[in-house]
Amino acid sequence: MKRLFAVALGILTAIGGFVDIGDIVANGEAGARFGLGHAWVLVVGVVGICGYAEMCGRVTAVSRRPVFDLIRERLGPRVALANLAGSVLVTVLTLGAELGGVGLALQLATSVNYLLWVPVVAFVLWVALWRVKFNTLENMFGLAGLALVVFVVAFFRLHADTGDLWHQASHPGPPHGEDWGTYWFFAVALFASALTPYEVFFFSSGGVEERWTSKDLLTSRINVFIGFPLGGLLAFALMATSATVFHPLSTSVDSLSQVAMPAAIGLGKLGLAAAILGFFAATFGAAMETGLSAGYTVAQYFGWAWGKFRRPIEAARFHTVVLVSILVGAAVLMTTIDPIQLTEYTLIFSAVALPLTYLPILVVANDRGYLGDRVNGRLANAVGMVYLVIVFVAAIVAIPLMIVTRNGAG
Amino acid sequence: MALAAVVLLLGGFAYTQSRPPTPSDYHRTLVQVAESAHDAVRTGWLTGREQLSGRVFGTFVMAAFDDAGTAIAGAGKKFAAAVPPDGRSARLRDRLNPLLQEAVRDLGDAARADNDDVLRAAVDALGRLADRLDTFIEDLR
Repeated sequence: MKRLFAVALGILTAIGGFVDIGDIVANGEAGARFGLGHAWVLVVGVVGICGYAEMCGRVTAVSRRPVFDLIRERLGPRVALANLAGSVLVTVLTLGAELGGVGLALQLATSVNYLLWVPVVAFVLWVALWRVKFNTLENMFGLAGLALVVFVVAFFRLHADTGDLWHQASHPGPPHGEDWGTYWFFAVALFASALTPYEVFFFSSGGVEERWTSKDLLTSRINVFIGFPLGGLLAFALMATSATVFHPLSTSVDSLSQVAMPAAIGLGKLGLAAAILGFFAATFGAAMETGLSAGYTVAQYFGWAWGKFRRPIEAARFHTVVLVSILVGAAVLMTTIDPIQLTEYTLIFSAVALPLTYLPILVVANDRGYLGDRVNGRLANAVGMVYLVIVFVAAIVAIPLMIVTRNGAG
Repeated sequence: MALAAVVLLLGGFAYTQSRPPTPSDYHRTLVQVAESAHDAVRTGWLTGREQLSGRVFGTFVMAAFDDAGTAIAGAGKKFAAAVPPDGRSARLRDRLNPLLQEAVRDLGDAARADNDDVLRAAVDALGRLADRLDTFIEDLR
């Protein structure tokens, strides 16, 4: 019974934890401008993160070591350094975007400007990462993030023209007034939002924090194969509600208040409150994950003691990196850059860094020295290779698309 | 080799940024400004409409109108910074200018409406303005 509860909790946490500011912004924007024309990208993204997260979970459960630790050992410090640099840069920028997302959610609830919330949120985040237990944090924000289910309910209350939405989903491409460059720019951003590098490092290091062994492989796989797709469903709901409300009005979405609007239209004040709670929990939870992820990768690269399963005094350098990452993330926001714009840039840089993250994972997941008989099977390798190609293509086209489309402006 | 590529890239960027705008550049800028204005006005219309039907609370309304106001201010700044390169571009500018001014006024009216009648009038005005901006954008395409 206790194990069943743990599995259910893990699934719920994965669902709530899947969505972050990148998913919220990218899906809201794509839905408004392209309807459901990018629905297939969500499917591709979810299958990709499931494939690679399963590899990470398996590597961690069998070797009882986090993936990044093994990458440095298996591929050497130089390759791992490139991986580290790309991951940390993107993760810290993502952390800034998440902090901005928390600030924007609080602005919707209080009407106090998000910039005034950023230092407060950064401080609370640091205290939480310093003092609160890993499981408590993960479960609390993962479960609260489930409030985003309100967008699924709102979708049904909005009485969308399902025939029209199906037509958009089954005939992908730019609608009238948009071009192919912008269409592919958003496809890359959506893909990157599903496969953000910090997610796999956090998942893997979290497995070590929770002391996974080979016996936990099933739990890990259930979390991945049920939790992530259901999390993808929340992201799809954001896209679908935005497509229902804004696309027929030919109106773009570029603020969090707009993304929340369909919940209000469909379900009134309670729906709106649930949406804001969901935004808060999803972005704060992701800020927590990115902060820890920055600490994990740096500490694991340099071989320092790390993790929240240790007392802070025993992992002082790890906690220092977490603190510095939070300060840098907050400092980026205090330049007054628009958090939504920061999120858009972060997604594109994330796309560029994806190969640095996913190629080494595929290599380690095929190493019998670490995994014995649990190395990748044919299916896992086929999925891994196909996604590696997609990831490389996304990385190559991301910056040119950003320049040509003026960051998606068209 | 890498240095030459960087210099070329920077040179190309500097050229695109410093060369005088062509009618086509100006045309594209106007489309972007009109689209931003349209999005802000339509969002203001939606916010006001939901406020009238009691589906949103005050702090959200303030934040949503703030966002719309910021968007229209950004569009106005972009509009003001672009210089029309020829007579046809200037005529397009003269068509868009009053629409932008109306957008600022109507969004302001809706944001500070202190009763339902004033809000309803502002929402109606925003709806009509969004339609006119829609027509303007279609004409430009």
